[in-house]
Amino acid sequence: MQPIKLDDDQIADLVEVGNIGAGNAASRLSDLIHRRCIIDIPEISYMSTQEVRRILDMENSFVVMMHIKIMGDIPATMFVVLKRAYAQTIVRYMTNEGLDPTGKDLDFTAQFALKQLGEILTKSFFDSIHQFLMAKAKYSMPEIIMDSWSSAQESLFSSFAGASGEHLLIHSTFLDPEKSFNGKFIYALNQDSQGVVLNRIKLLLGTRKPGGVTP
Amino acid sequence: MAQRILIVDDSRLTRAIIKNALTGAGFDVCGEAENGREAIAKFHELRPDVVTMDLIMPEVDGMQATKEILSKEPNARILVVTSLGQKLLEEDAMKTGAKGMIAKPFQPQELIKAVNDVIASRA
Repeated sequence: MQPIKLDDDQIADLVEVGNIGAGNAASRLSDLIHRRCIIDIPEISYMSTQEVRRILDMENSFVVMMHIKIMGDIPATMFVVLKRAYAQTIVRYMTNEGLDPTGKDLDFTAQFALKQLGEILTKSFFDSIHQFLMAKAKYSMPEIIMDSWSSAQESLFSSFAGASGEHLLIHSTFLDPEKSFNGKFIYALNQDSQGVVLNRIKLLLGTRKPGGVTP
Repeated sequence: MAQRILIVDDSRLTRAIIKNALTGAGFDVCGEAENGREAIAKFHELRPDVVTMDLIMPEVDGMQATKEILSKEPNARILVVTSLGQKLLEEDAMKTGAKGMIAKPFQPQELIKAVNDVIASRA
């Protein structure tokens, strides 16, 4: 199957879809931890090993990666990736507890908090996109990986085994303006889902549906 | 006479959707801008009754554009329209001088109400 060729308008429209998802997820995080959380303008890439390494730039880091699969009208995969130190910071904000003085492992409470957070953020991301595109979705439970970046990458790439080059990645950085944490949202669409999203966008541009949800 | 609206958003999709909703409700969309820099220039050129302002934009962001517009025209009516619908940023926007904020995604009726509320705040 040949990759869908996107024109500039389609790329811009997909960026806006990513913006809506990422902005809503970042805002949910903000409300949970009572700190501002903003995002950078999302970018579009095609899935490849090099591109993932460029996007994430986590060499020699220990990371926390949350992974969720979406079924329904627009099947997709999402990753939330951040360095472990930033995950610890966010947990501290959530739980109002002090930092582990050893700065090493995330304990059971922290892991549970992160799993809950992953579910909240990914659900917020997808709910807003599905509202916007008037689509239905079902979610898997998020999987959480806490490991070296090289190991986490293996898990990430195994999700796309056999499909490299056909998945579109819409990715955005979320961050505390005071620079206490940052991370990445990555929303991955296969070709069929790209087509569904682009068709839904055409509907939004071409029609006004009474009671329908717009951005 | 229809209220005149300037739409500011770097997304042509969102600009089109806001325009459809507001023209359908009888507003006059007098202009559009893709970033904060254009927004400032078009505001002074067009003198709209209301500006819908995105926050995350290239070159000059919405918060900065809001500040610059209000520094020259304190009576400007700005409605922030953003995916970053979080309480702390809403407080920031209101402190900057915006008259309201609405989060994406929204229903057309919500946008229309928000614009009407901003217009009513002039009274």
